[in-house]
Amino acid sequence: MKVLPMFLVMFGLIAIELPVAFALIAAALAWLQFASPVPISLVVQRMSSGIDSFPLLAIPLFVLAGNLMNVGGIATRIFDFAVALVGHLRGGLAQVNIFASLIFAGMSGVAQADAAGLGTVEIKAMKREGFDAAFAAACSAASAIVGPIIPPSVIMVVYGVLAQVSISDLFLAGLVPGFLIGGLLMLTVSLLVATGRAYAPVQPRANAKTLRRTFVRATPALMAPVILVVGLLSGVATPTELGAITVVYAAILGFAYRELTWRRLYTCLGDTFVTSGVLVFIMAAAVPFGWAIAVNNVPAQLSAWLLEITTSKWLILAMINVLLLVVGCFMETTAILLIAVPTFLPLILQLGIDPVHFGLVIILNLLIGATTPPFGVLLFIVQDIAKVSFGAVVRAILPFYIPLAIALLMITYWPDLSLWLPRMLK
Amino acid sequence: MDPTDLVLARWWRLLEVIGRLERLIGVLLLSTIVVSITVQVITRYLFGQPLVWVEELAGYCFLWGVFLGAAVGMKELRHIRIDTFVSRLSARAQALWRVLTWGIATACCVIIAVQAWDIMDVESRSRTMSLPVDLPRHLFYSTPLFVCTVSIAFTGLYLVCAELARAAHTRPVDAEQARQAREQAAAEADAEADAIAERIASGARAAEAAGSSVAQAGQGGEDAR
Repeated sequence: MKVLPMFLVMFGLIAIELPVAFALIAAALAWLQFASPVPISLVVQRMSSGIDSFPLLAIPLFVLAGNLMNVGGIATRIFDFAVALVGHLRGGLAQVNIFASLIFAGMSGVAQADAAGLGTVEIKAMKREGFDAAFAAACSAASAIVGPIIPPSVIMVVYGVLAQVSISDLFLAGLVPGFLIGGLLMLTVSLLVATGRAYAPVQPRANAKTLRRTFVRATPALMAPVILVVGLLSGVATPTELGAITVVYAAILGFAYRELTWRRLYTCLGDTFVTSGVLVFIMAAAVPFGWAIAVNNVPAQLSAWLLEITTSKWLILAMINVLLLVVGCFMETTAILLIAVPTFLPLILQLGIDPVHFGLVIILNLLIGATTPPFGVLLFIVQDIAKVSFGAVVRAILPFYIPLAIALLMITYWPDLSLWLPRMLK
Repeated sequence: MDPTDLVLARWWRLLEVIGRLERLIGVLLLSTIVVSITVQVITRYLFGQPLVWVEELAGYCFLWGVFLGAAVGMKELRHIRIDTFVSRLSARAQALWRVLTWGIATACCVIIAVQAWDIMDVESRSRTMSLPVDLPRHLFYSTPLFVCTVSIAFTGLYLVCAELARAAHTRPVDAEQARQAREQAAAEADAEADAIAERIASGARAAEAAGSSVAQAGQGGEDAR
């Protein structure tokens, strides 16, 4: 493989703490300069056009919607409703934590927003009730994974553009697996508490009046995911358009609740602009790198090599899963996706695996990578909120890897789990 | 004040002003995207007539927004990097290490900026498609890329110099301090919100019957620690 040095240079540059985007650019530029006759300008020309795609506009829109929901006091309302609904179950606020994340996932598109916004409310409430801070942090990190599985999802937009798959299909495919993961996590909490591995005070069962009151208070917020899912199911608008509608809806709600001010709106817009700029810039930065992979026929060589070992698609999916889980421990999610999708997709298509199904597998896999040490973005966020050591959070999250692994296996080996909903609508 | 320190402080203030300007433009671009797409959906359903140029307009706003956002991200040190071993080095070694990494980043951006400058000429021959005004394409492709990489390189060069100054006579880097101040302010706002929530919660607890099992369990947990 002629491009192997390029990969090594990229990993080396990331290891010396060069920001990921520049590591991708530097490795590709060095390779083009020294190992390829192609002029650099040819590749630079593609950097802008590489991110000129209407579906990608959904990224800032869904990041903004999540930010607006966070400042607009919606997280608290959802949390109160979840307390009234599931607070009396074994596990108390730990169950509430996961359940609230499921609802919040329907409005927010990035796991980081889920962990940072709702996570703050959840972890504080759990600490106040006497939960172990590390356990509270672990629950929030594990449940934040559901955020990008249940639509909307920024990472699905990135995958959809890379793999040229319908983003609506991907969004719909995530619904059932998302709830499955949520259910498995709630079951785990229940088992942990039953076996005495976690201390969890239980909330009193809410009476019908409280339930109704919190539900009414949360209804406008709950409408946001309903609008999105109805929009997707009926196909009246593209995901990008639904993103804009969600933003407008969230802003109106924020102003109606009197939590949002013009000043906060400006901060939110500015913050979203930088967050999504930095994120999508990685996509532009990966264009020269991806181009070098493609012109060197890496996907074809890799396919030939893997197909020599085995032709079973289940075995190959297992190998890809293991490889990505290992890489996911050390690398940033978007960067892996940008390299892995063009590399593996031809092989996946050749084996007759549905790219939508593969998308769910790879996305869940990489999200699990975001909760594993040494580089786990979600762990850093919850650790910071809960004010506990990194080691403590890692120990507390260990039992949650079991349901997450089960979910990954189920999604990998049961394609219909994710595919039946988008298929039904065709 | 040492003359080099003065230059660095001025340089940083200039970068802050540029960053604020870029942020303002970014907010306007993002607002345009939201408003234009929403309006398009409304006109399509209410008047049955889609506005053809909206997608193109929003797409150009997006391109400019992404590249300006990346430029601001450089000033706020928000480009994602993976922390490995550098924090374990001595302060001086850390500063010299950052000189190396920021130097690489700056060099990359200079190379791309030069290329983007050359491409502009070729790209200007193709025009916008559905916008009501006829504009050359490079305004939305190579120009934002050029502006972004120049801005990042300008910041990167500052960071290289600032880290060099820190290595020489341990002058703190303004960009680092600004980031720490931002994080500090966020933590304080957080603690304040926490205190308010705590007061509300304890008030609610007092209002309820004092012997509620929840309050006891909560208290028990706190006592145990």
